[in-house]
Amino acid sequence: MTFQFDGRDIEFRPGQSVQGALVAVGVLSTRTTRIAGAPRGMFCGIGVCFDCLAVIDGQPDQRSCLTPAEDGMVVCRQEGTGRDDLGV
Amino acid sequence: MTSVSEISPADLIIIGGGPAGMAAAAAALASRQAARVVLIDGNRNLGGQYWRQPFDEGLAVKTRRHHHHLGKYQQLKQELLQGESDGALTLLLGRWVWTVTKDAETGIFTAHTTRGDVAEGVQGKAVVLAAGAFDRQLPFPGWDLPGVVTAGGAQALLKSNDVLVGKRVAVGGTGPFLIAVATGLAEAGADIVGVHEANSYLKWAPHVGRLAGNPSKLIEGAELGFLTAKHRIPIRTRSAIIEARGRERVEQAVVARLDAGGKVLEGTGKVVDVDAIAVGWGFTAQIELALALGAETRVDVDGTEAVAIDDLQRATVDGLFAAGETCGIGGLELALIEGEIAGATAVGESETVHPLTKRRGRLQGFATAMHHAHPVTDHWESQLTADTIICRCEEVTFDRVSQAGNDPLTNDPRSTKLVTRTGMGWCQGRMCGYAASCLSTPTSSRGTDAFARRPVAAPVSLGALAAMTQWQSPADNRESGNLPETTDSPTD
Repeated sequence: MTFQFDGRDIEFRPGQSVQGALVAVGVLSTRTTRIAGAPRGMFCGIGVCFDCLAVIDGQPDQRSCLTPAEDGMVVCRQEGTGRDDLGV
Repeated sequence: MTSVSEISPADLIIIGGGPAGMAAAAAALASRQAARVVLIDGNRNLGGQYWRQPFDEGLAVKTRRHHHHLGKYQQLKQELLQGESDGALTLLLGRWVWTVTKDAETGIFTAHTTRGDVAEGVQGKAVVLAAGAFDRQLPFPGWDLPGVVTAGGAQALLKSNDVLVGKRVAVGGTGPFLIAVATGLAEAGADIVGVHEANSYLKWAPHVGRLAGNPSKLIEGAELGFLTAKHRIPIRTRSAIIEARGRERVEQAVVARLDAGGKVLEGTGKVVDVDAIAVGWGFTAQIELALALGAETRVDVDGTEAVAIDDLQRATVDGLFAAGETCGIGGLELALIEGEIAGATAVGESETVHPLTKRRGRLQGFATAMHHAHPVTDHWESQLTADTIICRCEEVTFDRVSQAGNDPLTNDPRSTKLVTRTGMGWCQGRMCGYAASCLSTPTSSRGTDAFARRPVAAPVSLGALAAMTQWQSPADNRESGNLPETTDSPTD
């Protein structure tokens, strides 16, 4: 079972979250911050810190620690709010 | 608003499916009251954080080795599943409660839930709030680097994913939980370069009596001691991780010794190679929903604001109960007992003194001793540099927060929040609240987290709110026959 992260195939075990599968292969960061563009990733692991946000299947602001990994999922690094397409 | 419960209102709504919530549900089901119970939890599986489960049964088999007291979990889960198949219990998993309201006339509670873009409401005559807690954090330079995680997070990653956050891990903060996390990581194959406990275990000395009264804690302590020795984990007391260094991720931890007052001792800093850092300074109870109902709270010995309850776990709002970490950080056993008392009492098993009262008292005594022995140390903020991030979500640095804290016009948490945006981001001050409260008040009082009031406890989309076509009103409930009989003639 694999999903894509920024074009790279990530193998995962059924039952893992997107975050768990990424950390397992050494990918610790799924987003960059709005102001400084600093990399962020897993912090609290339970869905209260919102640092693990990623764009999942086109939807920004998804907490990767709470999202079950699914075969064929497309996950992208989130830049800032992930809503650059809105142009605001 | 769609009511998901076919039997509405339920006799009892339990918010939280961790140890306390599960114990409350089991007690309610086991009572003689034939109660209809609804249990709501945001995760897809029962267990809360303590018994955090993977999304898949197959992986759950692999993660068993990371758990403790799983037998109790399985027993409670069986009782709940039996209750579900008997029709007495409705399990609403994968739904987050973002607020709870109480009808002033009927006294019926409504738990407002969100699940993706769907907003639903569940009604009940009583509520047990068992929302648990999360790690308390203190900022330090570099804590925002990928690879720096909470102690609970490192454990959660193991329990729900069977994944190690790193191979060379430094653990820091305060409290016995750090040892539990470190030994768990070590058993899973990580090399723990050190556990840096800010306090000294000698602080337990005045409370030795509490240990004697809690033999299970002694056994737990001995187990942790054995594992610590087995893995040769260096435990450094009066020590702290004062900086995380690295470019795209953490590569080094700077550790230093502290004096008895918590100040960093000059010249004791050492740089250690790591690929992950796990930190925790005790826990913060999740009390938003109790606050939304107007329940009273109290500040516990550890500086955590918790729901105030009486001997039967009753909060100060009629029909509201609380159990577990939500009403005071105290660990698994205490949560199970409180859940049992709350669940039984909430469905009408009336006893003036519950049989478990004494045991609860001993466990509370232990928790108090633990809080006294592991306070947040003074001078933690002296390690902060001007550009240390305080509010992670809004990227607010220490110089801006302390500026607000030093200005007489803004030196309170709320004003600091308004002028710096601290606490206004996604996490709504959950990660920075305690630290920001300390830094934004003129006296460096340990105080408590002033950011705990969150009208929206879980993210709700505007679409979900808009789709709530019907706001609950007594008239609507009367028409659909959802009200208990009342002799009063209601006025709208």
